Amino acid sequence: MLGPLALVAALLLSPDGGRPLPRDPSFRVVVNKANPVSSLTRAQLSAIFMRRVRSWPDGTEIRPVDHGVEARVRERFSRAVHGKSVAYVTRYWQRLIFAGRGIPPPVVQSGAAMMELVRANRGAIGYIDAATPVAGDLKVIEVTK
Amino acid sequence: MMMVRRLAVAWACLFSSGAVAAGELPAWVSKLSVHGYVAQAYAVSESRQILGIPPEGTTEYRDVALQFRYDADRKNSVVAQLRHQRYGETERADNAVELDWAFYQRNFSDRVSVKAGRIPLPLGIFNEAGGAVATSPFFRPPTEFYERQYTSKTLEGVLTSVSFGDPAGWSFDVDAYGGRWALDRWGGERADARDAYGAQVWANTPWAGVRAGGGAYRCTVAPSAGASADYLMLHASVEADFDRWMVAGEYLTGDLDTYGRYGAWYAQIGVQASRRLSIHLRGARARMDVPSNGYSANARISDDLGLAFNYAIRPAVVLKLEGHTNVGLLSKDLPQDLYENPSTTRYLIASVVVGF
Repeated sequence: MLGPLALVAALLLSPDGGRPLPRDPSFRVVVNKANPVSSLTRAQLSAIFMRRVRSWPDGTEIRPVDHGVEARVRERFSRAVHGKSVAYVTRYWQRLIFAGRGIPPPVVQSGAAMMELVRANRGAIGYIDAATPVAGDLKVIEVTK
Repeated sequence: MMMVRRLAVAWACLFSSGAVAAGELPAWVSKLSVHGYVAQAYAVSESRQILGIPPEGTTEYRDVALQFRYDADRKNSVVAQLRHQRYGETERADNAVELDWAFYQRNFSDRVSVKAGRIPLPLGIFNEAGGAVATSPFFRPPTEFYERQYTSKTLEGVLTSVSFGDPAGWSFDVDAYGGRWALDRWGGERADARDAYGAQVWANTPWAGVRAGGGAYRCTVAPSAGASADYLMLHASVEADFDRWMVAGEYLTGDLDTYGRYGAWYAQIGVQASRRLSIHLRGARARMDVPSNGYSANARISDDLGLAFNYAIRPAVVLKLEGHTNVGLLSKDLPQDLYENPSTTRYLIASVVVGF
């Protein structure tokens, strides 16, 4: 009797209706060299990009920077960090925008633009495709479970 | 010439889907953001007008919003939204563009803020952002819950928001408000709702997209003719967006003083059938207990069953096709006569919604 119910519950409660998340994310999270933070949990990173956490431990404003909704790295980041599709994240932001409660992180069109923006802003945090070489004046953040 | 160039830069910034590049824009432009949506529909009913939809069909069914937000710094923001709504032959039908809401927001910390002005009223899942592209799979949120005789879209007053808990685990969002608003009355009349105050609490669970909430408000409604009445409304909501599966349900009940008691609920479920296509089913019900010569007449305001297909060309460009069967008294958005016999009709809405 409980078998079918347990299966339905497992499907509903899994982050993507049962699909596994990528084990080895093919992106790197980068921050400004002056940022003292060196690692974040996946949940903390998700909260930062959903703008539910807005300050670094030293009080500096967190400025997350995202890629456009069509970017492949955005889909990989969304599934690995939020455990959700880009469509879900779009729904989340649409609701907040038109309730007047907030706006999503600004987006850039390339990894180079992402690195330039993170370099220029002390509180910025972004992510780039793992195949893109990271500039030496940026810091790569370790993302843990 | 300088002004033309600045305007060109501002235009490029505002309408480039939020894309940014370092060091190219004046500081004030980077603090300004513009968002909006256009929802245009063709709607037709089977046998009688319902929610402004006539049997002969109409393309005068749309909802358009344009929002400007200026974040002066971390502490201070000003937000305004213009809106044009046209729902067929409803009594609210006109071609006006109105100030939907506008408020000043002061952030005292990352978790405490105060808004003052005309503010979206925190009421359930869809009241604040009901018309946006991706928030509701149907063209309109359920009118049974979000009708405008007993609830309002906005509050003119002050709203305080407090969040606490672990943003990555259990957390709570609390809104408390006070002020006034206006309610729709039969025949297109508006009535002031004064001395309004209330609160809403959302509990966010560690499972992203799963939350439950509830709230209450009271107000004194003073129609232009007739006695004033104290309304007390209670509402509860639960929502679970599992990405592939989406479930939501809400319940509203209200003591309308001498006017009776209103009750409404709805439940909806959706499934993401493919990357672009999702299918949604919604059932909604509204009842009104009306005092009548010492007895209580139970008016069947609406029983609505709807099925919607959403096709997302892009995340913010969605085609929606929905069919409904309705039994009740709704006409021109509101019931016109609580004592007539309920009738059945079906209606169809085909719409395209674009957001930016």
